[in-house]
Amino acid sequence: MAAEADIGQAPGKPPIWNDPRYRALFFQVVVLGGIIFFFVYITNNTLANLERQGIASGFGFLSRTAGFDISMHLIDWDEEMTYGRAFTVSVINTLLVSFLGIVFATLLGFVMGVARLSRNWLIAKLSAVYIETFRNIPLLLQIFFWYFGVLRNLPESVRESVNVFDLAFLNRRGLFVPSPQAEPAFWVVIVLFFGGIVASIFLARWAKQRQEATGQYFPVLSTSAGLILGVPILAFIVLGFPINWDVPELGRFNFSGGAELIPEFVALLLALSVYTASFIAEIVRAGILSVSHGQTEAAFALGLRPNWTLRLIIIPQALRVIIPPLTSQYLNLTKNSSLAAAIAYPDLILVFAGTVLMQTGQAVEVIAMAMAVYLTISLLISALMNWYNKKIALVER
Amino acid sequence: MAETQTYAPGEHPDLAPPASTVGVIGWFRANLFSSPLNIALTAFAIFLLYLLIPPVVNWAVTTSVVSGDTRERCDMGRQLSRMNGAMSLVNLDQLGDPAQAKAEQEVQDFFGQFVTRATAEGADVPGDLRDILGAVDVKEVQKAIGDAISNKDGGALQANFAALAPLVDWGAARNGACWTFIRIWFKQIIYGRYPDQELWRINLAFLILVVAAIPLFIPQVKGKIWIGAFLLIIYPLIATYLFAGITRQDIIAWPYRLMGWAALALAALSVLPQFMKFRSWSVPVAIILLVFVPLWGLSAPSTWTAGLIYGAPGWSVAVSVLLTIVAPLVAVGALFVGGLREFVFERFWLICIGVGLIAFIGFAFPLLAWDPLAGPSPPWAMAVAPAALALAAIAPWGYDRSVGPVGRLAYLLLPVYLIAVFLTLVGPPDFLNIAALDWTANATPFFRGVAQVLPSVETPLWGGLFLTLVIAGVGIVASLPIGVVLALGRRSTMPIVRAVCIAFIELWRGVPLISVLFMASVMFPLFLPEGMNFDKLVRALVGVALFSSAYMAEVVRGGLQAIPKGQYEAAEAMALTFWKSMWLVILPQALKLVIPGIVNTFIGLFKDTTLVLIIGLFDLLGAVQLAATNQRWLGFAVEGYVFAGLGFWVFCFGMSRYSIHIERKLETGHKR
Repeated sequence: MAAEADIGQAPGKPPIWNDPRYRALFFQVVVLGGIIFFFVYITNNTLANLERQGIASGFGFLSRTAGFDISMHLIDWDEEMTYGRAFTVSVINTLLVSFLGIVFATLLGFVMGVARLSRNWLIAKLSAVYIETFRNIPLLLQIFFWYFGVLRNLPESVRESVNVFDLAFLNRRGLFVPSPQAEPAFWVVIVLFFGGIVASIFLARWAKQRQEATGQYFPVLSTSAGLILGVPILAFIVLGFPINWDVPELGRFNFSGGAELIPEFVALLLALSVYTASFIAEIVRAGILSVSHGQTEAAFALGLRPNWTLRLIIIPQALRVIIPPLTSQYLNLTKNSSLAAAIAYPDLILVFAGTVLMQTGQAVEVIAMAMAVYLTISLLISALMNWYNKKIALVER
Repeated sequence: MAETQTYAPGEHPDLAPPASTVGVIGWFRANLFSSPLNIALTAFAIFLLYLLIPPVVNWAVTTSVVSGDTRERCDMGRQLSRMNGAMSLVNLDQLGDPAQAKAEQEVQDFFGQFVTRATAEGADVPGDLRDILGAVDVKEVQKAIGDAISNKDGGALQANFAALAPLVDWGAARNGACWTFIRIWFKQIIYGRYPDQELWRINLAFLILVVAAIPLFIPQVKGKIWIGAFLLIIYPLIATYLFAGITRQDIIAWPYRLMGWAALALAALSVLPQFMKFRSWSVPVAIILLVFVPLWGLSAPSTWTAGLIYGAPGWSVAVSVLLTIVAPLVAVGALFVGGLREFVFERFWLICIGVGLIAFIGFAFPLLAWDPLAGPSPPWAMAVAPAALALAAIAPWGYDRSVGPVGRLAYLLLPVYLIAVFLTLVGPPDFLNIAALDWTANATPFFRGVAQVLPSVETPLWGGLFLTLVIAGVGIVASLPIGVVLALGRRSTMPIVRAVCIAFIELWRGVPLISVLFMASVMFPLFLPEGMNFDKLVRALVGVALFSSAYMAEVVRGGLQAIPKGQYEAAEAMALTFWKSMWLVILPQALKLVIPGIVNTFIGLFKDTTLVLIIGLFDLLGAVQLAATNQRWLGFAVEGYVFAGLGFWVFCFGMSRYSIHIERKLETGHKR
């Protein structure tokens, strides 16, 4: 047998197609070639198709006059402005609804998550019903429900508006809320607030160094809270409440004063918050449950007081579990805000991938820009997330 | 009376626990009233329930309307109760006061609307209302109320209001949800605008699905792999033809479609055996080859002729002819040249996968997507198709060792194939004459019969729950394998492959689905060569599948990372190849670990199907939206949303419960 003759001899070089290095090389060349071919192919087709349809390419359209109205804009907008400006306006609208949605969803989500763990049976069940209902119904349906089902069925006339303590009014035209008008002195409060944050950071560093050097403990948390919140509030009172609330007042045909939030915005914000909160609640619950009971027992055995146990043992460990999925929920909320297009809230998708695309026909550039915005947000937050994960990851072995 | 009883140590009988800690009372104390805070919370919760439950039950059940064939019954109830609302605002002593002028007007308006409806010719009036209308002459009352208001006669108005009491009561019992709306639109909500006489096709397809899927959930059933294979490979073909039927394009290009499906089946069958006990598959594969390769052989000439007639580039035709001639030479070479033969044996699985991929990309895909009305099929398809033939001709050799007679039977293909080449050179027979483009005329009677039984139903007519299930089903089935491949690619040591996979995953995960759908509907057609186009539904399906496969990839990657390194090393030490170690060792463990994540992705995908509404496809939510915005049915949006929401909820909640059940079943950890 040939095999027996080979015993004791160094094995020969394997044939080239069995060598992992060459295989990998070959395979990657094939993949790369396929991808290059794919892109060349679709680019060729696209160029040919664009030429045939007589559509211009390039980003020159951004400086052309848009000529359409946008129903909600935080920065100046009129029809004479350019497509580029429309892009900015719509990005700001997207960011606004996402940011507010994140704030409300977090608040509601934490409350519901804790409530589901409540020892009160009724509260726990109510929270469970809330969570299971809202996270199993598509977001778009919820948006439609709030917009077409609820807000559109509100009375149209100003006098029959839903009145919240004479401060806010809700009717078919939108939500009218008091808007704060800052007096010059209010800037002092803002400066003090940010000053408090900076001071707290230095304080925390100093306290840590001192504790490591001498073992003496300094109450950082309460001092920081005093610095960040207490001092500005004190200044706010001392300066004589330097902020005016411009409350909407009932006029003959409409409200005067205050801020008007269009119903599309209200419906979208409501749906996004309620929907995402149901997911956040589950994340919070899982995070709290993930800290094993032994940790609490161990902390008590060491003689830590309950509030210290909570602060030093439970919350840091729960946060490690909570923060990553929480961030991904924030990302989801931001991406889901694109459903605004379905109820005509002027976000990036509706204004840019909708109206601008229709007017210019430059599908490739417009969609690419819209996707790039979301991609940038996602990648930024992912990068931040990875940094944070590395920082808090358990170091094993 | 108190007589002391003594017990020996340890003999004392167990006493019952205090009454306040057991039973119903104990439960209430422990769970609802354990502390002042808890009592307050309980009170708050009861208050919330009081705010929520009675109005909802009242709306949805007690005062809802189910009967009737028109919206009239719902409208009459609502008008009467709105009239009642306005009546309560009218102060009988201050008639004519400008402050209540609006209420007075509304009473007349709403009552007027009701009277017009109820007394119209052929009005849809339920029996009990007819009785009331028989007792009260509403037209008289309407006139009397008008007179009383204009005369400011409070007494007369009160008398007339009193006469309306039975009507008001009747209306108050019918001002809730109008389920009539759902009943009337039910068919649209479930099937979309699918033609009535064709609905059996949808029902049949779902019946097959359910019957075939039930055994999968029964632990005792053996051979689930066959059922799974049926559901994943055969069933989609059956369902596609049942749903879409035979289009005019299909009839014109029927030989192409037939070959395309054959190629698809072969693609699946070539790849699948690698993942199973593959020798036992050799018989069916050989038979499939036996049937289909001749068809391919016959198709080659017509493909070329078509290419020449339609003016395909010369090079593609030349390559195609060349490959067709080379293919049998390779096959014959494998028969006689020892080294080549060994090579074929050793790499048989690779060849099979190659055949599968090429058959799919080069053959099935263009043949199925080609629209004969739009122009020639893409030249590259014609160039690649013969390569698939070449490999297919080699494939049966691999069965030589194990199968014997059946495998040898497959050699018969070779002559057939050679005949095909001969035909090409001499010229195609009449029945393959592509110049007479209308194949309808010479389609076989069988084929024409099928086309009559299954007339084409265009995808714009698809809709409702049916469309939701189609999109979700395709997305689920497609996203798992693509996701697994992407996850493996992301963990690969090959830098280019890894980079490509990371870029793909992060790109899709970073953008909202809606922009992907926009891309699929607006940009995708620009990417395709002229004359080739896909249905809007197919484009949306591709978008949904790619999008969810990126999410699936991350879930699967989580599972792969959780497998200890020792498993990978052990598989390598057993000299398993990469794919074998993945298929036999790593993936079964990894996928089991991430079942909850996979099901969550499915649930997300299921909910995301609603987004196709934005590019103009009408799924369950879209159908409801369409019904609610119908001019004749305005005002019942809430009922529609509640119904659709319930539908989605049942599916999603069911899936999540099932995943929890699976999770518990596979749970091996230690829990307190």
